[in-house]
Amino acid sequence: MLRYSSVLRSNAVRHREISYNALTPKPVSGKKDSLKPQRLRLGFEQTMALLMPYSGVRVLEQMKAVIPLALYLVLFQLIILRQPVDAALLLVGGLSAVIVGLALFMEGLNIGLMPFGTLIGDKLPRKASMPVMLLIIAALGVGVTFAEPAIGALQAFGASVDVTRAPYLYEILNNWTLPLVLLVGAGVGLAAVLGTLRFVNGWSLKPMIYIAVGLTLCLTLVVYANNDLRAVLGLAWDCGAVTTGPVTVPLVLSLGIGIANSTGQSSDNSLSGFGVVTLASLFPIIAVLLLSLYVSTQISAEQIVVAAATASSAGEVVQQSMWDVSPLQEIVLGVRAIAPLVLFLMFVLFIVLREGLANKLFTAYGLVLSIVGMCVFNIGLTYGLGAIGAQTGAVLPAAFMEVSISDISPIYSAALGLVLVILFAWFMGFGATLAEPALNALGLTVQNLTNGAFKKSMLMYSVATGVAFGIALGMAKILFEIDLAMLLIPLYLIALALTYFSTEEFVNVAWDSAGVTTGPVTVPLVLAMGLGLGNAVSAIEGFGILSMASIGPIIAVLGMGQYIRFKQSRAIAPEGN
Amino acid sequence: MITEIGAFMHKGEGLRLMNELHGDKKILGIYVEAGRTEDLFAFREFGSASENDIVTILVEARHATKIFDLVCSKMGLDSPQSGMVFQMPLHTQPA
Amino acid sequence: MSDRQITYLTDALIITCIVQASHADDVVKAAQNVGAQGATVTYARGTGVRERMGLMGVTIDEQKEMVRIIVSQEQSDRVFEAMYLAGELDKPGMGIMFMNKLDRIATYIPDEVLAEASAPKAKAKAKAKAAPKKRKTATRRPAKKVGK
Repeated sequence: MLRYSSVLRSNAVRHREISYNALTPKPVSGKKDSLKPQRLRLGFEQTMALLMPYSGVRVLEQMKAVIPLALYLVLFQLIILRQPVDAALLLVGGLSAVIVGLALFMEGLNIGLMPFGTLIGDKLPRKASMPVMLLIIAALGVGVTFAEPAIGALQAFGASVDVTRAPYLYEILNNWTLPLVLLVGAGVGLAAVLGTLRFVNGWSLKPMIYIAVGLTLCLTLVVYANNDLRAVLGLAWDCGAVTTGPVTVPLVLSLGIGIANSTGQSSDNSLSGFGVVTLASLFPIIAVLLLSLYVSTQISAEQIVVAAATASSAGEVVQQSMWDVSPLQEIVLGVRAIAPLVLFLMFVLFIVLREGLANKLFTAYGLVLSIVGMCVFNIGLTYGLGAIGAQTGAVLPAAFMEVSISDISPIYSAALGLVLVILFAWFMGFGATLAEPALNALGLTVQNLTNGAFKKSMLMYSVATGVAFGIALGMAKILFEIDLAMLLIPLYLIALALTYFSTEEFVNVAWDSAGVTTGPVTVPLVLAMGLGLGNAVSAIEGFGILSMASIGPIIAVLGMGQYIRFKQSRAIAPEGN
Repeated sequence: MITEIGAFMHKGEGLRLMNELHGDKKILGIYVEAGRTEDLFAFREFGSASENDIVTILVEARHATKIFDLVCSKMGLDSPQSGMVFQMPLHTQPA
Repeated sequence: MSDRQITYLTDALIITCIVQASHADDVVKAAQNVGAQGATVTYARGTGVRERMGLMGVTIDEQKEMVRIIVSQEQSDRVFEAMYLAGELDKPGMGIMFMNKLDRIATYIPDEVLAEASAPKAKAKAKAKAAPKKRKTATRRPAKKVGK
């Protein structure tokens, strides 16, 4: 096969031969350093020729993820919901900030954070004893949870819970906040330790998944059996989903890969550094469920309701400090998510391990870039994606019922409106996931580890499809008031069955991708939508959508693995060797 | 004169080959790296590509044929969808 | 040792092309468009010009992809050119490529291809003139006769 155009092109190439000898440096007598590489001086044009494609490619990549999502939200609001878009100029500015922020953050991740994590993971097993290593990793797991901004979002959400309908949920979110965060942190810490033991010893991830999921499902059933406790389920499962954010995931992954590289037993599985994220999203669920069971033995539902009534009559007003006002708040959040982790890792690297960095300049550049990127990204989220999400979420119920914001509501008949809302949720979940930085990082890691055989885009699209179905189901859960346990248990059983039949590579990636899907892009969009709808149909609580968004991708990625195997075996069979 | 023998094979096979040839005195060095291939094997584990191992063996030129045949038959590289092996002279003096 | 016969293929070259990460697929595609068969790609880390540019070095991806393609002598120049152009190696910092002669290669060769290739020489020559020969149609020689 020869394309005519390439023949023409290849004919047009002119050849010229130059001896390489003419290009290499010659020793100059008397000068010792004459053969050492000289620092290159770049002119303005050359600098631009390097900078333009460098930044262009990276920004373009994020534009491809964000612009379709934003366009979709705007068009949906304009055409389907027939509601004008407020503050359009601010939105455009915010969206640009999201794109630039994402590009900066991802590049910072690549050049700064990830190599940093891999370096520590590489040195840790060689220089520190096993207990010290596990201690450091456990500390990292707990610290990471405190730094995760999405945990705060869950707490803020607690105030909106109706105490009479979900007493224990209210109690945990309002009076047990510290134990809640501590337990979630302990869950993540334990997960990190177990995950490390796993790839040091070369254990398969499958049995761990069976045990952890089995335990989680049993506890879920126990909690579900108790009428007062039932509402806690959503919180517990969502906690698992939010513990693993855009900073945690890349760090945990790169750390794991470093450790797996230097201690690894099974070299026939290039993805053996995975699994920590999986456990880190399952153990917190168990922790929260156990906490709720404990709380239920301490205090009865009636006592909570009484206590809540007196507390609300006290009516304290919390003063907002200037740090809570945007855009300062976003910057604080951005720095908070990265700086403590980096400081901790630096402490480990310089003090505990007494190691230096390979290239200080590049690492510093990467770290600065990731912090700046995170801040710009946060600001963009508030003014861009978050704002448009909140707008659309608020008018969304107008599709099927009467809402005060929209004067033409209900726009459609109830049935058509509900279908539209669920369809909307599907596409939004798909789009938001593609823009998620943690998923980007996971995809990149998978692609690197498999030498490019497992394409990043393939992973991202299948995860996004899974999230889309998960969020659509979660929406349906709120709209039709389906019990979360009724959805979660069968879905996890399907996932377990698929796990049994899948190869280790796909199991590792699939379960880890569940943890990364719910990050800073998806969570505010989903919460805004969930709140809008939840208020409109007066559901008990809007929790649970995020946990649906976690199980979706597991099934999607495992399913894709099975599909590829099926297609490949069919493609080979007719050849008949 | 030293000759390089290179081989492409399925993932995991490279390490197996390295372990098997480990004690062979004729071999000066064995290196295994991992890569991806699109059409060396019909089965592509990740849809569009598959992982594979690349083994590089350095031997004295006079042993090259023997080691070449050994690698080929030991790993069954002449059977369908299993990979390939090649031999490349490394001249130590300028041509 | 088994009495299986190994078929050596001669007149082969290996082209190695090192480009910045994520550019390899374009290079492989270009090579396949002009008749190259398979390619093996690995990730590698490169140093060189990157360290000499100070902070501007970040614009060049440290991660490289190394493409290795085995070609027949007849197609080698064509494939080399196509890969060079597709990889845009005439631009700064994009990469480097080189070609080595191989003594021999061995792999699975379908029986029908074998039969065709080992037909009388005159016929093969005539065929070679008519159409560009593929890698796997190189002359077959029994294992024992090939010595140094």
